[in-house]
Amino acid sequence: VIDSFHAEFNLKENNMLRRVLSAALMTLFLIVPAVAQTAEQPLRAGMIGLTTSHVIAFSKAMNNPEATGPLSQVKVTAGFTGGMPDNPSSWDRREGYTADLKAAGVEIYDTIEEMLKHVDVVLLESVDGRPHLEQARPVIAAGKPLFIDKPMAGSLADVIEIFRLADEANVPCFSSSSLRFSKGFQQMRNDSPVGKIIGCEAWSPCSYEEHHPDLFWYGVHGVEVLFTIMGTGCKTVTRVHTEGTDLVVGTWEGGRIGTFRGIRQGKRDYGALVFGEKGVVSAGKYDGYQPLVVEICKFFLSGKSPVPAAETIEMFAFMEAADLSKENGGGPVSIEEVMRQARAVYASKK
Amino acid sequence: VRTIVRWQHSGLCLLLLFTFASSTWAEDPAPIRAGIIGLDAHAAVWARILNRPNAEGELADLQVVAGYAGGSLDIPQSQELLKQGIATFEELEIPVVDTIEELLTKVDAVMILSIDGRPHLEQAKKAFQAGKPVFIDKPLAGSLADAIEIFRLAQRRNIPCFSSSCLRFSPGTQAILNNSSVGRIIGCNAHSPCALEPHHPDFFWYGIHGVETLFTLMGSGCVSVSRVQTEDGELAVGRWSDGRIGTFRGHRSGPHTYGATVFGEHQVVASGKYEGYEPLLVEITKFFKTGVPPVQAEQTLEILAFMEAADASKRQGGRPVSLETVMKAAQRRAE
Repeated sequence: VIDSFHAEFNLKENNMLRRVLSAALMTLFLIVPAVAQTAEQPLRAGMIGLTTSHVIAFSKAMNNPEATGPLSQVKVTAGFTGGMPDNPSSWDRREGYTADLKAAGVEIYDTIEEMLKHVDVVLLESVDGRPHLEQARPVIAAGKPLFIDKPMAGSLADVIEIFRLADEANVPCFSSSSLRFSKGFQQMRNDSPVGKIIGCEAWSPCSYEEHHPDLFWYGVHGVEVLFTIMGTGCKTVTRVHTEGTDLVVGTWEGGRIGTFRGIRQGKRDYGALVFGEKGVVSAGKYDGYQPLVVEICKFFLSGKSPVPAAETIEMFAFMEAADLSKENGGGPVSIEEVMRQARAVYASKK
Repeated sequence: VRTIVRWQHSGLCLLLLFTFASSTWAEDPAPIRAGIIGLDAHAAVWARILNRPNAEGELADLQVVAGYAGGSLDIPQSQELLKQGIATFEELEIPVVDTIEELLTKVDAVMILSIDGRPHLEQAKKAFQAGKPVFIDKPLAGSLADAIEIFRLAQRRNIPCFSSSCLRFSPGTQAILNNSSVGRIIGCNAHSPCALEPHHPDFFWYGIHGVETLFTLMGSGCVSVSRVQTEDGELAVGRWSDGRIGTFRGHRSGPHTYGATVFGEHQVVASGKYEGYEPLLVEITKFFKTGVPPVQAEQTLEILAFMEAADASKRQGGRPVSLETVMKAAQRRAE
């Protein structure tokens, strides 16, 4: 729009007037784009890693012609398939999801770099967390706001590095499980009916994937609930592991205690019991993907992350500490120590 | 028990029963006479419930007829509650006698309700010697070793004896057991208040309520315990031999609440609420009538082993401690 306006304007003779008007119009265009785009042209979103059912669910929510609010202002227009050959969950479904997106009119590109030329924002969806750092690098380099689906990465060190790169490039970036934005869990965080939160017992299914720390693959959902309700400040972690169940206990600053129960046997349920100053209540249920997709769209439109990076980092430290506790026979593991070791990984590579 | 003994051992009584069976006999047998040892805890409240003139069902069949004060000088709460207990007995016109021996001459069955678990063993010994069935309120004893000794003595004399927190018999908790819509119980997070008392292992004093809920729902079979303690709370994780996991959360801040989340085969449900003393009193009455304890001694001992193991885990910085080790050490002490 600006280019064509200039082309037309260049025909004018009066240089002075041209300069003044040009400056005024440039200012106008610099201020207006967000508004103009939201009103008429939705943001073009690209998806990296067409290896999870989320790509179908999320793009359906955004591309629904009847979508309203923030959902109507972001459309998935591009995709890059990706996939990890050594992880069947990632590899076996990629072609199906790619075909589905193609059928829905989404352009599929051979490389992330190519895709980035055609989008305003990016959803990194790869079901396997290990390639996330390498996939995030070009996105951050291109300055595109980035949502990263769970698990944010294959290791705490990678999580820290992604946030560091994004912060350095001033690129908005966040990651979350959809569980965080279920109404009941948000209410506990923002306006708890039981006053100050003293403790929490969260649970979720917890299947493993051999290339990820145990809780990253699926337990992350319940851990996300735990941190949504407890916030940051976890100091030590102990874990009891059996074939059917994991039970991870976190001790927070000030003596609050939060637990995560990972379920592999029995009803695969999500939930949390919250211990507050004024009562003990159930925090509610999983509300599906929609609340997360709305938050992602709001994030793309505003550039503001709905989750503090420090909280996401601490969640991953909690999950890695849980693995260390299992290795040491169930003794307590310090979050600070886990963080120190993870920070050293990329610091030493520089 | 008096009725049972009479019916079993007196042909005359049987004859009377069949010959003159009147509605009075069938519906209104003489209540069992219970004596309470230790008026410094539940004695006042339970005597009020049991001695209500309009008590119905099982509760009509048990009457408190005598009390022995007891009390522990080194526990301030015991001293406070003892005054209230004695006053209530006076009000209800229940005689308070000077010795346990005297109490035993007046009663058919004994309830040891001393708030302090430490004297329970000595108090129980006397009741066993007199051949009276005994209910012992929580905590069964001041140590696992004492608890082992109590059950050993009872068994040797073939005297029915059991102990339980009232939480076990909350109808909402019992309803979860064998509930086909919940299915097999795969795990449980139980919670209760957990005030501490310096003369008892940490969970014995109050945490026992939540631990009793946990074992009621999970059943026996816990093999190890690891524990986290902070100023305001406790979190003990038990691993069962079949891989199931149960937790006990004890709280010392926030509201005074009891509960449990039950992780079932088909459903996750809330349970474990406190629903009053009556359900336990009904069980105690049935126990005195039949001589059949509603809780196996093995499970009660496992509960105490769980609680002592939790203390051992605390001492070891939160590492898991095997119940077997704790049990063996206590058995050695008991011998």
